[in-house]
Amino acid sequence: MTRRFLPVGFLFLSSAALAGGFQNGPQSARLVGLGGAATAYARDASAIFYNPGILGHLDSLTHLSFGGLGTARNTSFLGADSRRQTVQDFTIQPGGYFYASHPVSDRFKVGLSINTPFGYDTKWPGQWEGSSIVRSASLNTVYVQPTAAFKVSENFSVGAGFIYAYGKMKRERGLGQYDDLGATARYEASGSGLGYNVGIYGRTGDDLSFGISYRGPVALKMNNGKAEYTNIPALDASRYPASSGFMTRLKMPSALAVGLADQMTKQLLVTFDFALTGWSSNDSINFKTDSGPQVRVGRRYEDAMSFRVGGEYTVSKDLLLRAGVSYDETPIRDEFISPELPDGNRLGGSLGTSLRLNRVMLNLGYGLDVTGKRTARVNRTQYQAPNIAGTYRTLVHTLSAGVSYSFGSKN
Amino acid sequence: MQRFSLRSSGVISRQILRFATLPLALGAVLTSCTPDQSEPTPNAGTLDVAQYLAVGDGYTAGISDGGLTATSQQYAYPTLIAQQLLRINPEGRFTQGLLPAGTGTGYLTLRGIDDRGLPQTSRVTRGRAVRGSFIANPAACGGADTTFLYAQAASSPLSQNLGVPGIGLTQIEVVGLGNTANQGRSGSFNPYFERLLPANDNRTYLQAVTDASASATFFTFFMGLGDALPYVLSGGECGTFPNATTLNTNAKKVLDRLTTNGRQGVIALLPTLQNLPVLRLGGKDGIRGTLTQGNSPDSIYVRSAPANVVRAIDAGDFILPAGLARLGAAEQVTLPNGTTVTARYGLSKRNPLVRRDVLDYFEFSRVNSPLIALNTELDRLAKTVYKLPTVNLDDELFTQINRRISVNGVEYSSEPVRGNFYSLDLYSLTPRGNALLANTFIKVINARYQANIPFVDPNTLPTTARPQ
Repeated sequence: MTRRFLPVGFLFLSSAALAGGFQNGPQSARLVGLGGAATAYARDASAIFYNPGILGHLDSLTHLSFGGLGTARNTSFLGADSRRQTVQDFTIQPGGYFYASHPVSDRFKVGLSINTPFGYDTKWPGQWEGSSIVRSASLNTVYVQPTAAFKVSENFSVGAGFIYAYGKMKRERGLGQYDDLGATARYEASGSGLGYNVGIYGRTGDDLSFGISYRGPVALKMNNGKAEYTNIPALDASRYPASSGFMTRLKMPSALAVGLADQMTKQLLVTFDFALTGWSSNDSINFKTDSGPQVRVGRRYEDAMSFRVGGEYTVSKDLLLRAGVSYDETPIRDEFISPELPDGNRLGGSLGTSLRLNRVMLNLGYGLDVTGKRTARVNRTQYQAPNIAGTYRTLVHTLSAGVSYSFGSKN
Repeated sequence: MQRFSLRSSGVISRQILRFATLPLALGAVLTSCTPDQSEPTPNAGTLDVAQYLAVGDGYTAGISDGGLTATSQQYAYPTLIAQQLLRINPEGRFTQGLLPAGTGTGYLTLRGIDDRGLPQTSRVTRGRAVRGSFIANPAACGGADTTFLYAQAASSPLSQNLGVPGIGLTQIEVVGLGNTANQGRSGSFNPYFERLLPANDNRTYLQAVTDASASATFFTFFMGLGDALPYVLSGGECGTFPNATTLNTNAKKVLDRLTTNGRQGVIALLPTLQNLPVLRLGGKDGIRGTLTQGNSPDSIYVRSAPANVVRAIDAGDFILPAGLARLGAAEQVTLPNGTTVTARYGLSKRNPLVRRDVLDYFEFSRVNSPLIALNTELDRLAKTVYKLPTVNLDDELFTQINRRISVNGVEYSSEPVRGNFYSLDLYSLTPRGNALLANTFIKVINARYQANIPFVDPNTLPTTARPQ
């Protein structure tokens, strides 16, 4: 008999840590609709990433799930000195996901997760008042995670995955000390890092399940960085060489998550998540350049919590509706709010649906996060930590569409 | 840390249900993807900014790179303040006696930067706005000088920028200071004042201030450095050091006129002299420390006032930029016995720094003490007599610049050329320096008069007023 979905009766904990910072939205169209409460959600193959423990409890089918994800983070800035508003250029941060799980035996399952959990794409107008702080900055990451899980008993399973991560970053700022508006510093680098992901999943009854997961931190080692300085006046040509190499490390945070899922009625599944994201490893950005000025930007992120609740209502076996809410604490302290990533505490709401078309499930999800107003205050005598004073307001839109497909036979 | 308030879990779940509808509502109006923040409307609070009068010396006039040009006048701090006021009152006018476009009184241009970080400059006289007649002044200090008369500005109404390069508080009651009849009388004639007045006008500066203030609604006052700079720049050889009593008395005279009928304004407290790079670079905190050959500070020798003796340099002495540039150069010196030897300038007792290249501690004290007394008096007058706000330029700007500041990611410091604050003459300001000076005034106006005047963005202004 062919089953296309994971059993509906499962409640689980999924370790979806999506807290603020430069984290992308939930890495699956279904999870976007659920507000990201994924640590105990056993109906989607994205569990491989959010809680490897769930993988052990998936049924005996082979599951595929893939799709695309677009995040638009839009910020307006009101300058404290200029009393002028600047609106960021509209950008869409592209993302995507691919999950596959396969049973080796009834107790042993393997899976593969490929997704884009971290990233941001900030673009300010070319000559805005903070262009000497940052004109544009972006980060794109891909996580590849082969995973294995073991069902210890009917009610309990454990899983673990190995993470290979690749990332690419870009930064550009104007050199406003020169008259030439084209005087620019550009930095570009890419690199990879390794990590791991572990999780447990259990059921305490027919209706209630839980999950705990921990994803370790990943340091992206970037040794191929290239710093370019253009339109530098002859007087300072030796201070800013046209091109220079640099090395840097970018730290992707760890995430500890616990989740609960409760089948409240025959149709309604509710999931809860609490996650703690280990942003505090993000202390500063350091570019060790071969020649020219060294770059050091203090960040001093704090660990951040997030709370998520999602509900999934089964209208029929061909139609599911979802809604979720989330609260994400920002890792960015008040004194480090900068135009590179003006993040704030976020309150989010989301909606989603799944429609069955033949053997394929079509999944859609949309989420909107409203960020609390952030105010950056600046002490200009602290020239080592340049910044611009003003207030930021941000909205984050996340839209995702994907398909999932299950095949094989139930033993 | 900003946080949304989270009360009990029951409240959370109710909020959650409420917010679940949020994406629907906001998603429907996705056209406005970005949250809008309304720009506050600039206002002047309780200050009447209809007619602004700026009183001062070369800093107020807009001297930059060793001269006054039509361009540098456009970036004088009063002009920049007036431009910000246009956002409150677009009809406002700030009429100042501009030189003809593209002309000036000459300026310095940059040839390069020497090994010690000092700018190497040349004086450009091309495009001077010189009127037909000029006279030589054989009695000028340091050799015969030529006094030029510059293109006259419209004198009715008087310029709202009464900044006059070279004027001091000690000169405010000199009759005919701006009358060409006095052009041959050293110290009794100022060509920059002359060009603002009608022909053959005998008014004193104080009278001009009185007349111009009749229609003014507020003022800024920044005087005192003009009394000290000629003496400082000549190493104490030219000009006279000011008398403290005269400074204090005359400052009160000007301020009395400016504050008639309860007119509001801002009084500037002067930056300390040794903060200006022209002194600081050659002082103990500047680059001088790196210039002594070896560890002993005795290895620099100066000819000092008043005894005219050669002695080792003192921690309180200042080597002026001309002396710094020449310091250590191998030169032929003729000894009293007629023999010629090679001696490095300033590093040998046989070839000490000449008096013109050094403002020694004695001269510095003579010129600095009256200014400190003036600052104390200005502060007292503002607080107890006029009840007006002061702007402490030393604390709020010049000392910060010495320690380096970052404004929206661009650094400003007292470093020559690259610091973007001081112009090539090492005491007057660049357009960006003037913007920072204007902001220091605006900050005080905003605080004292509950005003909301936007600040000038210095990063958008040129780094120099000279033609590029």
